[in-house]
Amino acid sequence: MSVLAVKDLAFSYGTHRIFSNVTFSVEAGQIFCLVGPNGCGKTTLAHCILSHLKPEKGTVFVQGRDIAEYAPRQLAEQIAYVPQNHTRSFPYRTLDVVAMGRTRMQKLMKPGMSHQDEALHYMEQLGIGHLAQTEYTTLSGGELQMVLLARALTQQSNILVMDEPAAHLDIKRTQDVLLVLTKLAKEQGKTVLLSTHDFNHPLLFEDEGADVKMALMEKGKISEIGTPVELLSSGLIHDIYNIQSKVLTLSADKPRHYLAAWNEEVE
Amino acid sequence: MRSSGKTKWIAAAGVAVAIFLLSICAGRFPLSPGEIAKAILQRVFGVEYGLNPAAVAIVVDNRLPRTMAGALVGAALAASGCAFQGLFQNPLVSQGVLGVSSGAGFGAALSILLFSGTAFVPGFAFVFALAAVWLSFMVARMCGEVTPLMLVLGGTIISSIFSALLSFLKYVADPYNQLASIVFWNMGSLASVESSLLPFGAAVMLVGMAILCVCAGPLNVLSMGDREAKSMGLPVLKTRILIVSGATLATAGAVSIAGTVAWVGLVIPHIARFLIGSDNRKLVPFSILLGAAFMMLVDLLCRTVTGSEIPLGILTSLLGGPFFIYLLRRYKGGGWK
Repeated sequence: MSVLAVKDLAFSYGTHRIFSNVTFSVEAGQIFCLVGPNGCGKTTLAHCILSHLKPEKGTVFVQGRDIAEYAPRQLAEQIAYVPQNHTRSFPYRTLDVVAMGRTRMQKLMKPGMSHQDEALHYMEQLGIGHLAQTEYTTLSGGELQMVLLARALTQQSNILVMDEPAAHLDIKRTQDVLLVLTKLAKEQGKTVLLSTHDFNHPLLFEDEGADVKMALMEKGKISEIGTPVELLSSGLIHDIYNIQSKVLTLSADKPRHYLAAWNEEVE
Repeated sequence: MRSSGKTKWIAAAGVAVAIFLLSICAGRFPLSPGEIAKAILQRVFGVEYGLNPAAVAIVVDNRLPRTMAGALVGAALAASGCAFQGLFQNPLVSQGVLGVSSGAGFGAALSILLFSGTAFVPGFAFVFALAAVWLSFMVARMCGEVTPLMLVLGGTIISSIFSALLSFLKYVADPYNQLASIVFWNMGSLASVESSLLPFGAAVMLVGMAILCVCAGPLNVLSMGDREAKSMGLPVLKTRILIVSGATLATAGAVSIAGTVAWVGLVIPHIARFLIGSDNRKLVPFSILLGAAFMMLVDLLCRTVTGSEIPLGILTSLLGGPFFIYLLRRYKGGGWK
């Protein structure tokens, strides 16, 4: 049984169709990357999977059960969410924000010290332990992204859904986050679903030996699902983006794959 | 850091207790703390200290209930102000946002017109305050999901309707008697606190504040935004309804006792935020403490500064406004922007 399965999903804003006929499944320990051009519907799809939006048609199954049947607490046990954009309203202490990831485990009580310890543990794991006592409104965009990831990890769910996980991150932090995700998937069997623009992210997961699936989305449809190197070596990139591209292999201690792309006109 | 936090709690509690004592001692008939203690013992246990019966009556029937009512009203308004600010993720809203005040104002005016007296004013104010919030909620729900934006919109619509109805009642009211009562009530006062109504109002306010204190943690999570709160496992709508109920009970209880008192629900949470930080688990109880102290102080000034009573709402704004400007300057706009 798949951890996450999407069956014939469709969504529209009014009469504006965002996506339709979306079907795929994700196995435990897999990193599933939704990739596609701007406006292809991947963010909306992620919100349907998170049950933030109600699909027009179709079903999302988590552990074989329709997510519409889950209570919020039960769903939070299964799926944690790292948003791309977060509106900060009040200057909470960063550690308290991360500890909110334990919401599903607490009744109306204050989070006990163990929750703060857990929160600090995940912050340290991501290399942001020094931010624990600061006000989270003073953090940079990249630091905030790391804090929100730490909060999601503190939630200790089976599935992690991330929208553009590297959107606000510098080159070092991007590598850090991608490696953390690889580790979570490989060592702890966590399932990761993320949307991204950058083809080098799925390539890196594959190089690091994670079980990766990549879904190419275009105009509200999933056009192909496969492993990154295989998929990116086919002609699909040209069909979707109308550019030339080639997967390059750099051999260091282990092979590294990168996608190079250029405009046709230039050639 | 922890110790300085503790100091702030002790300082705030000390200030509140000092104002409480001062408020019972001071007045047109000043009494010493010793006389206060004697008066209370004399009434409660029938011990005879040979104290003037008028002094006993002033302490036990007037100043004590009035000061306690003031403390509760300030506490309730401050706590619900915190809750509304957290709920709407907006530091500029206060209880008025869902129509509590205009609903209560209309209810009070209606009862003044119907019964040409003030006996039913607290009851009417209470019921219409709840009704206004309920209607705002219904308007928000009519359009699908109950988001903060829809709630504010619903509240704005319902408030304006009740304001218009209040204006109409003022227009048809007898200008010499009823209109004066309506206007005076809408400026807020603790002068006419009747002991028989106090227990009910106090109980409602305490229940409301208890709900808000218990929900302070979830309120933090809710202020992360609906989607994130939901993904962290918070039942968003249920929590929101619970917090709105707590805040509404606290406010409606306060309004039914003291009339509409401006500013406290907006300013006290801000002052508390400057002092103790934004974590609602600390902020809500600290606001309660500060609100109680502030309201007792304002009421003390209301009844002692001039020969006649000054309405509460005037002094809360006159004192709160400049103090807020001072804090804004001192903290350069605070930490939330």
